[in-house]
Amino acid sequence: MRRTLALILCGWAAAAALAGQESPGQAAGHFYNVDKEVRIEGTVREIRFEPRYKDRAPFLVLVLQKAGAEERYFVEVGPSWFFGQDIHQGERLTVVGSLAGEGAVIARQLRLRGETVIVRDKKGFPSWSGGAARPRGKRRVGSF
Amino acid sequence: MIRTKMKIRTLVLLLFSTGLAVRADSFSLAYNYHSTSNLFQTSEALSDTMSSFGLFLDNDSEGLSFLSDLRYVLFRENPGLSFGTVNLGLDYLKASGTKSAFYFAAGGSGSFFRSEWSPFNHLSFDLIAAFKTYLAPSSILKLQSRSAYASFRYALFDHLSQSLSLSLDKFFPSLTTLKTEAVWKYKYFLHPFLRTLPETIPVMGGGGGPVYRGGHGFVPVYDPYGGGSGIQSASLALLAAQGLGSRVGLSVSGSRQWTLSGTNPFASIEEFYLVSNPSSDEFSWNGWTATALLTVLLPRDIEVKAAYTYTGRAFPGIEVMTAEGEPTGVPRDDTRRSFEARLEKIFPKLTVFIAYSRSDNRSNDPLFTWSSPYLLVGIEWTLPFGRKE
Repeated sequence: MRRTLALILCGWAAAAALAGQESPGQAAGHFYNVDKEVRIEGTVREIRFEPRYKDRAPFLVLVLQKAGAEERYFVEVGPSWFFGQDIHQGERLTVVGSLAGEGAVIARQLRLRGETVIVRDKKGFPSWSGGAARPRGKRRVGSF
Repeated sequence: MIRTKMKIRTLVLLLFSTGLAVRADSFSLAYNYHSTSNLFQTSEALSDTMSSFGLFLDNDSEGLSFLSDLRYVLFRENPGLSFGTVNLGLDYLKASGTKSAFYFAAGGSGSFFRSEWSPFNHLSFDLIAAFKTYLAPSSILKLQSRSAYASFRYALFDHLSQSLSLSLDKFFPSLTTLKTEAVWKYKYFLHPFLRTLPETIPVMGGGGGPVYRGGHGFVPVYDPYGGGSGIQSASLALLAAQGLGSRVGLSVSGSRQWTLSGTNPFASIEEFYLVSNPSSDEFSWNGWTATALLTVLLPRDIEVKAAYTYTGRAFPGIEVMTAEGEPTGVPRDDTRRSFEARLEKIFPKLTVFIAYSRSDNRSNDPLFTWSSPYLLVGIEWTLPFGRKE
C-alpha cells in the first residue's frame, strides 16, 4: 500500500510542478477590479443562467434590487452555483464584489440564510473552480 | 490474479490523476485533526486521534471540469487503520434555456489501508446525471440518478448500487422555504454468500491476531447456492427553513426510510468513526431521522452552526448477538441522539474551523450502546495557479 501511495504522490507532485499553464481568460474589459469593490444588500428579483465568458460554462446571474432603493444590479456568481445552491426569487442576500460596467457586479462573497460563501478571493481569482467554500467537482449537485 | 487486476486499475487511476494535475487551475491543501473517545463506536470504547492531510486540484473549461484529490489519514493509537484515498472525476454542465441545466459526472476513487485492514482496500466508479429547473422563480425541481460500482480486496463487499431522487422546493416572501424529496435506491452485493469454507478468512484489526476490535466482525454467510444479494429502499424527506434576515437561518427536517425488499447479507452492521465501513451505509437501515439546525453569521465572517439530530433505525437481517457472537433471533434496533456545534472563520484564501459533537447511541444489542464526544479542528488553504484572468 505504501508503494502504491508513494507512486501516486510522485505522479502528482511531478504533474503539479508542470501545471503552470495559462487557461483561457475572460472577455477584455470585464474583469475583477479590487479598487471597485462594493457591498450591496438587497433582494433577488430574477435568476438567469447564461453564457458570460468564452470557454466557460454558463453562469448563474442574479438580478439584485438594492434594499430601500430602485437600483438593480446584475450579479455574476459562477457556473457551479446553479447546481450547488438553490437561490430563489425574493431571497435577501448581501454581495461583496467588483463593479464591472453599468450595473454589473462580479461577486466575490455572498451572504444568505446565515451563511457566507466565497466565490472569488480578494484578488478576484474565482474559487468556483478551486476554493475552500465552493462545491468541488461532483459535489455541484448538492444534497437535501 | 486479483492483485494484478488491482495494480492495473491503480495504474489507470495514477495516469488519469497525472493528466488532470497538469491542467489544474487551482491547488488546495487541507489539514484536519480529529479526536474521539470511541473509534469503533461500540461499548468497548477505544480512543484515538487522527490527522488527515489532503491535496486538491481542479480545472474548469467550457463547462467541463476535472477534479482530483488525494488524502492520507493517520491514526495515532491504531496505526493499522491508517489509509490513503485518491479521487478523480470530471463533470459537465449543459444549459437548457436560461432556467434549466443538465449535469453529468463520472468519477473513480481508490482507498488503500495498511495490511491489518487491507481487506477494506477498494476501487470504485460512479456516474451521476442530474437535471435542475426553475418551475417558477421561487420554485426549483431537481432530478438525479447515481450509479456506482465498488470492487474490494475482500470480494465479500463488492457491490453495485443505483439511486434516483426527485426534489421540489418553494420559497415564500416570508423567507420560508419548504422542500420535499423522494428517493429510491437499490444495492446489490455481487457475491456475499460463500458456497464453501475458504482456506483463510481475513482477520481485520487484530494486529495479526484473532481479536477483532470493530464489533462482532465480518463473518461470512454460507449458502450452498452462493450468489448475490440485493436490498431495495425508498425514502421521503421534508424540510422547512426560515430565514431571519440574511444572518440567521433556522431549519427543521425529517425523513422516513423504508426497506422495500431484501436484507443485509452480513451478520453484523458496524460503523467506525472516519472510516467508510462497507457493511454500513445509507442502504443498510430503515427508520426515521429528524434534525434541527441553527446557522448564525457573526461579524467578521465568523459562522456558527448548531445541530441536533434524533435517529431511530432498524437493520433488516441483522440480529442482536450474544457476547460470544451468537445470533439471538431478535432484530437489532438502535436510536441515536447527536449534537454538533461548529465555528468557522473564512479568510480570503484560508478557512479554519473547530467542531465539537457528541453522540449517544442506544441499541438492544449491548455492544452497540455507547456514547462519545468528537473534536475536529481543520484548516484549508487554496492557491490558484495556472490562471490568468
